[in-house]
Amino acid sequence: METQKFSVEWRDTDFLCVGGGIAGLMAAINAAEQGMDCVVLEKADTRRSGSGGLGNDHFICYIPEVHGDYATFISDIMKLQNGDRLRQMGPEWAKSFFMKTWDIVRLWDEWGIPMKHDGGYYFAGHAVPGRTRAFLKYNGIDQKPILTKQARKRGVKIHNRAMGYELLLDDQGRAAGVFAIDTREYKAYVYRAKAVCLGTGAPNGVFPNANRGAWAMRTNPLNLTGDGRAMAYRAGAELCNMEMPGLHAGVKYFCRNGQATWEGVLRDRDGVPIGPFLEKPDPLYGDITMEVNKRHIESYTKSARSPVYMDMTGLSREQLDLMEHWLRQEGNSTLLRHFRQEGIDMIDTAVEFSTYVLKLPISSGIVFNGGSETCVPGLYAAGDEGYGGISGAAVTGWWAADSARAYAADKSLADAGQLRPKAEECLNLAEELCAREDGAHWLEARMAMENIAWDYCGDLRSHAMLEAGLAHLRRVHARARETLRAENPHELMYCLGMLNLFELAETMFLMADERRESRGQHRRVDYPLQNLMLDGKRHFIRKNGGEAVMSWR
Amino acid sequence: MPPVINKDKCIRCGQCVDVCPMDVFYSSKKGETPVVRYPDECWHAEACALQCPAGAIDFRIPLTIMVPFRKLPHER
Ligand SMILES: Cc1cc2nc3c(=O)[nH]c(=O)nc-3n(C[C@H](O)[C@H](O)[C@H](O)COP(=O)(O)OP(=O)(O)OC[C@H]3O[C@@H](n4cnc5c(N)ncnc54)[C@H](O)[C@@H]3O)c2cc1C
Ligand code: SF4
Repeated sequence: METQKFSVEWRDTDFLCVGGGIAGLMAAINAAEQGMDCVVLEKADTRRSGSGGLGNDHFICYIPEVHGDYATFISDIMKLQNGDRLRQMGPEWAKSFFMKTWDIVRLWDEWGIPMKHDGGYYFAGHAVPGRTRAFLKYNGIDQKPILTKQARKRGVKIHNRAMGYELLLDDQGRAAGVFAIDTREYKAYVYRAKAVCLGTGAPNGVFPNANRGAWAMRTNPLNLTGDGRAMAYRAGAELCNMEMPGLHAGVKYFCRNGQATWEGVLRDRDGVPIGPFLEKPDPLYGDITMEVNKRHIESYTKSARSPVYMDMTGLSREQLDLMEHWLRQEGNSTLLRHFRQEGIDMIDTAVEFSTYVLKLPISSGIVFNGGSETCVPGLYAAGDEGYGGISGAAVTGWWAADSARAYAADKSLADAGQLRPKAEECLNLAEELCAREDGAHWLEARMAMENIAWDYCGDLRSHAMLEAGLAHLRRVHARARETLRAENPHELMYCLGMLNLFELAETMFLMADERRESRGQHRRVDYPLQNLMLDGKRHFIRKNGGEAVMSWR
Repeated sequence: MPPVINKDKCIRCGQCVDVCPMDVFYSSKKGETPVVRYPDECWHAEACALQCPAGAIDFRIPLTIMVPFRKLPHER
């Protein structure tokens, strides 16, 4: 085997943000403002990358003059989609988070991300009729080019088309750098940094896409492969609740996040609403049926009662135009283009909705505290690495920089010698993947992993299946490591992403076996009851001397 | 084939190549009409079309992601 030779470049900075999404850019902006030398490492291009790359339109926040009493606000929020994640972080965290959101709204407005509609703050969607509306509608389509500009203005160096693959620790176990590969050239980088922040977004593995054949049409971008979680895990940081799958629903086949932008009513083919909340569209609230139970659409359809439609009848043309405006703010321009091409006018035509397949949710991820610190010194994590949402990413990214600045103040860069052995190991792996003349394409490996995840750790689980599945998953993972082949640096990025996803899939199997109860979308046929003693507890996993150690707190 | 580039309109500026988050135009070069090397990896969110100064990009929606629709009884 001829190894493909890479050139290697060493670079230094104070603060390295891996992932230039909302969290990474906000961390970098804050760090640079406080005088840190800062690099954003981004596998695509920060102007359009990540889940927020083509925009979003709902920004959960607390604005005192709009919402008044915080106690009523938070009690209403806890009942909906964000409740579980907030409970996981705890009430104190939730309060400081919401207090910070208002600052970010004003900052973003100042920077040119329009947070107002018609001159005022407009809250709509994700809400129960008559209760608190916590989601601010905003014009997010250009949020990424704007944040990129703000970062550059403060001297942040943006390193696009480079994928962070491995955290490098110094001899005291502190985060001290990152090994990265170029996604367009045969080139590798070894970054030394005093502190590192992970913000690589929500992994969209490990289960198969419901829509076979359209494997890139997922709720989140295909190139989000859980790299941050896998890097953190290998470096000894804690992950939590990896066995708790998430579920989403949305327009059928054109799979994508962003369900709450749809303002219509979910109805069956006879026009009967499938949920109890709305009789006719109400743009202020939206049909919350999906949020109460994302499986409701699937069950409705499976019981062969009827397909389920999102029906906008009742909106005026002006209201519908406004809804389409919000859809565009959320990256749905192609969907609207498709509707135009097919002659679908939503004023009098309903579009089908479906429950999507299980996925690893954002709440299954890296454990970080109120300062976005992980348990590895010098390592921070933010956004979809463990909390989620646009304001979640903005606030936790911001906090990561505050903590990193305080931490890095008296640190110096690690000796290159301490980082070299691990960096060389990674380089060998990259070279080998590119040198193989025949072998498995990353997509083959991905489909294999997805089949195993679904068949043995899918929507019905048991000890016997989990044990057998994990054994097979490990064999396939090992074989993938020996045989994966990248034809070029682009494919190398996906091969390395696959190795990361395998690692996360293993934590999911281990933790699913350990959770001997049924809860949410984790359904154990051998433990059908919810174990009330686990209420309010999180399930943790971390690597200790090569072994996975699990605990509850 | 998701993005489809109109060769007559394209000014070969390479901006779509720079910005595409999925790098579907991988290996395309400035000065040449971009080639959609990895069409199956497209997320259909139009970063390229938004960026294109020449309005040279259209989309062919894959058959797999066509959305089913219907007129409900009260819509007929
Ligand atoms: C279509 C859609 C609509 C949504 N609508 C809303 C909404 O209205 N409101 C809301 O609150 N939330 C919404 N969300 C969720 C929201 O977009 C995310 O919560 C948010 O973007 C998370 O920010 P982040 O920085 O953590 O991750 P991302 O914004 O996803 O950024 C992660 C970044 O890391 C990069 N990256 C990944 N791996 C690596 C690596 N190994 N090395 C270097 N770079 C890497 C990626 O390219 C990306 O730029 C939506 C998501 C989608 C997909
Ligand atoms: S952005 Fe438009 S004009 Fe420029 S290369 Fe791409 S298709 Fe051609």
